[in-house]
Amino acid sequence: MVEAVLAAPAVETPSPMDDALRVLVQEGCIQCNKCTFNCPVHRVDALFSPRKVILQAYLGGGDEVNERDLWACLTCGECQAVCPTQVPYPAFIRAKREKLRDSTERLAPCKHGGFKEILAEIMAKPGLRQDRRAWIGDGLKVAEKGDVIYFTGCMPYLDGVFSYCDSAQIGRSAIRLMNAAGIVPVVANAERCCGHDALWNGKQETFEKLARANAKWILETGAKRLVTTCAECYSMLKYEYPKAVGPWPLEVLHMSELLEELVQQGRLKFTKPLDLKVTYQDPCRLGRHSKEYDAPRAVLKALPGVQFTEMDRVRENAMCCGVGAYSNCDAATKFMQQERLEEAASKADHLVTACPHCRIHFSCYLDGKPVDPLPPLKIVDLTVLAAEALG
Amino acid sequence: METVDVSAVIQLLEAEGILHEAGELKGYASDASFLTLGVPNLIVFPKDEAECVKLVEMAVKHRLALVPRGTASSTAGASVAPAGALLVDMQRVGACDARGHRRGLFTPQVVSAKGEPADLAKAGPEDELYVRVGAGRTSDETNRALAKAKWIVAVTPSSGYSTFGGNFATNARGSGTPAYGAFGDAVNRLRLVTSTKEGAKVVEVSEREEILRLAGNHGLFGLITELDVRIAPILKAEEMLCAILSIESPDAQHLGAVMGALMKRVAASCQYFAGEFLFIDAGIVRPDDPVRNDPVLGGYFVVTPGVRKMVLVYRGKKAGMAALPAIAAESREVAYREITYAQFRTMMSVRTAATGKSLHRVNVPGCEDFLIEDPSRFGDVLAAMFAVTAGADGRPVGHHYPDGVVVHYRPQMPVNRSGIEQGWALNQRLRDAVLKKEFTVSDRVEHGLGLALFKDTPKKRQDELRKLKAKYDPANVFCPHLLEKGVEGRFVGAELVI
Amino acid sequence: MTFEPEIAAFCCNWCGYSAADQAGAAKLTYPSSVRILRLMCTGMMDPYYVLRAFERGFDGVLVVGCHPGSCHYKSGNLQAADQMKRVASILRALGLGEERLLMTAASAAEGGVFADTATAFTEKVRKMGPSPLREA
Repeated sequence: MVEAVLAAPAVETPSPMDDALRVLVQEGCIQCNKCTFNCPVHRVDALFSPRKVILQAYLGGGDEVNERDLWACLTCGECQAVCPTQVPYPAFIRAKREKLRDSTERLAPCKHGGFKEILAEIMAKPGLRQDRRAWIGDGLKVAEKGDVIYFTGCMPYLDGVFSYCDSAQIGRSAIRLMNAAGIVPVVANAERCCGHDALWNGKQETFEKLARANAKWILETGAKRLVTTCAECYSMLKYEYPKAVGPWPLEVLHMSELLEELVQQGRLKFTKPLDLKVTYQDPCRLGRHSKEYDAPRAVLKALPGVQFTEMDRVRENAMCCGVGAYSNCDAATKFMQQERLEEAASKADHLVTACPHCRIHFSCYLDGKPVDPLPPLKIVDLTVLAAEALG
Repeated sequence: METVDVSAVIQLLEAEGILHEAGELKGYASDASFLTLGVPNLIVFPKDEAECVKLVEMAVKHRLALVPRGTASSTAGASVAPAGALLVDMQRVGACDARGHRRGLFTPQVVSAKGEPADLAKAGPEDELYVRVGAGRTSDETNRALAKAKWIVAVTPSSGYSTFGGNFATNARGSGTPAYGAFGDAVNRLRLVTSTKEGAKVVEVSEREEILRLAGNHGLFGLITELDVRIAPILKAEEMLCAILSIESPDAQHLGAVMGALMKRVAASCQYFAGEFLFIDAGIVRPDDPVRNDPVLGGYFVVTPGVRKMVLVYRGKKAGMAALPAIAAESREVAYREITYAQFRTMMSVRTAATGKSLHRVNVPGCEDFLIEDPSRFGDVLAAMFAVTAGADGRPVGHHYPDGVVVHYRPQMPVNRSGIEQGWALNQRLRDAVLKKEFTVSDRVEHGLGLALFKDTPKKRQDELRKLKAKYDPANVFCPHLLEKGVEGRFVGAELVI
Repeated sequence: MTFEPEIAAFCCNWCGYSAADQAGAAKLTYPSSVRILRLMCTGMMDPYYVLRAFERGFDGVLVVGCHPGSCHYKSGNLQAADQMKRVASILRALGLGEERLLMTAASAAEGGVFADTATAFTEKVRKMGPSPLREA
């Protein structure tokens, strides 16, 4: 259930949301341990166990989640995917983070978490006047008003820190593809961070500030559709914004869904053979959280000269890229990334991602020193690949 | 139980570099039974046999009690530690790389009945083959590893995430039991770290009779580290037969008599992998569940008030099930239909959900499988059961094993103290009504079985357990509390809510 | 009334901070709203620190390290210079302007350089006006 992963499912109870979740967790869990056995963090850290956290919380009356358990969770949803009673574990952790945030000392050894968090706080400030479209460059057409918004979120800022990736290239590819299909998207200077990390890390207030600020300019454009190349922005704009800001008259699409549509309508023709062996990483936020598994695969099939082989763990069983909402990258992460990249390298020499953050996390790993030797593997974004195939 | 100086034990563990966690470990207070003997304050996570040996040596030298724990997904209560005992989580044993990390995918080691390496790619469907696996491995991950070669673990308990060590310790049954027996029957060899008066000893057991005596040990005899577990080829669609039989009657006694007689004849003349039944009532699936509109299966979910409806599904090889259609045809009241494997799986998941939880209600454990040795008594049992459970939530389900019919009922109650107590009381009334000698019913106890090992087991088995205990655990370090009289757990939540 | 810019000055232990110390000892004046934060090396500078300073309401960020070639840890200051270039592009896009960030060098003996730099930078930021991120 898409709803259940992102927020508390609608439960008829007079208690507030946190209590409703606690009831659901307590009553849903049958202590079968399927969650823990499926959890990628547990494989490298035997002390980390979602099932244990649930029993502990139940016995403690609901507030006892220790610090490591609270922040090491990737909120990837691999647990919920196999849970026989669909205990919404990621939503449970999110609610606990909101409640316990101020009383925990977050152990985030990687400063990137801090960077993203501060960026979001800055973008939530009312006095902000950005100048954030320099990445567009020449030769691409964008507009101030129109039917289709291209939402970029944090993209203009990512290359300032994640220098081993070119995230802006994703944006340019997206616009190029849309222009080729006759679409001139609205790219607004008023854009703010979508609030994904704030929401998942328990900063409800920041999320709401960002959502309201974004909703204001989005609704003012009168656009009918919103497209994004980021799986996290997609999950927020499609599923969380309607709850946070009220009536939401737009259709929200991930770029892969738009590309699939344009190819089916004959508005996009890929003429340049790419000659690549690829496999595909289902992003947690596009896959398990939003249940969109097919559109990216359809796009890959439409690209000429692309030989596509699935990994062993795909779709609802896909393994997370190792970091959730930038709040938990540590030594354990590196072993998870090694495991997943080994699996990818056994199938292809290019790993296609549909979320800039999967791309950043995997690239970060490859930019450093892998814990074990890895066959050569390149990380490529789906939208960038599609733009290359335009010729 | 002597109290133990936890900090001294932690020092010993740290000196050996063995992963452990200390504190008020509420998360390990129970298994799936929700019974508890208290909150443990120390748990150890050995990663291989060598660390297990160190732990046992430590236990013998410093007079510690060890309680092995697998996934702890059973309701036996044996993976629960009393105060002062050291909980030993065996999930990593033989399942980790040198760094102590598990991988989601692994390459299985396949061996013959003699223990020699075998190549699955060259194997024939009748070959007797085993996977040599660490005790911490689960059937789910092993099945995933075998999937490409189209083989499967022969006896796969429904909790695919239970460890093999745990499956052996509880002598678990599962999919495949009608053909391959309980889990102990499907193990060819095992290694365990036992105790001596001075320290630890690694023992390898491969004699069939001894393996069967050790099965169902609930951790009494040592830390199991490795097993050779039977595997079987996945049946091709052309070779497989799945069938669904159904019957309706307002008279539960009559319904049971007809089906009991049918099952008796099936057991005598068919071989099959699975025989599962369930009772269908109006609330078994939601009104909008797609299965209600399924062109083949939908009809089975139409119920008449006041009429009991039972559905019995079989899966097996076509050759072994040849007599089934004729047996079904012998009774006018029984409808017979062949179905696809996918439809079989759909009915299985309905059956699993039927005994599971719905929102705001919990399965109260405590009422286990009643094994009816003579299926012709099935009618008597059903009549007694429905008389007791009238008006309560829940519905009976069961298995047809070659050695008898197993039926169980789990009351579904709201999650609070009074709800659990009522459910528990209902279970006791059920036991009183059904456990009658003339019904040939024995109680295949599961819930709290581990804790009641001494109390409820027949005398012959008690004596056998003591003999084995003296042989394998002369230092009495493994679960010493299980052989004491009067060990009773309390329900988690009832005592421990803060 | 002119506004007093709040400046966060990240200074490396071996050069920048010592220079500031020397300025103090020699009683050379520089604005008191220049807040000094000591790092062992400017190589420790992370975009996070710069952004955090602006998020907290600072109007400008100064980074003072060793002269190229003199870094106590060989090349920390060069790393910092690269980092700060990338951070500048972030500040530009945020609408803060890259001029609100300055990286410079002052050796332990250059107390005067430190005081002059701090004063000049404060003036520049004063002319730019308060940071748009300052809460009202």
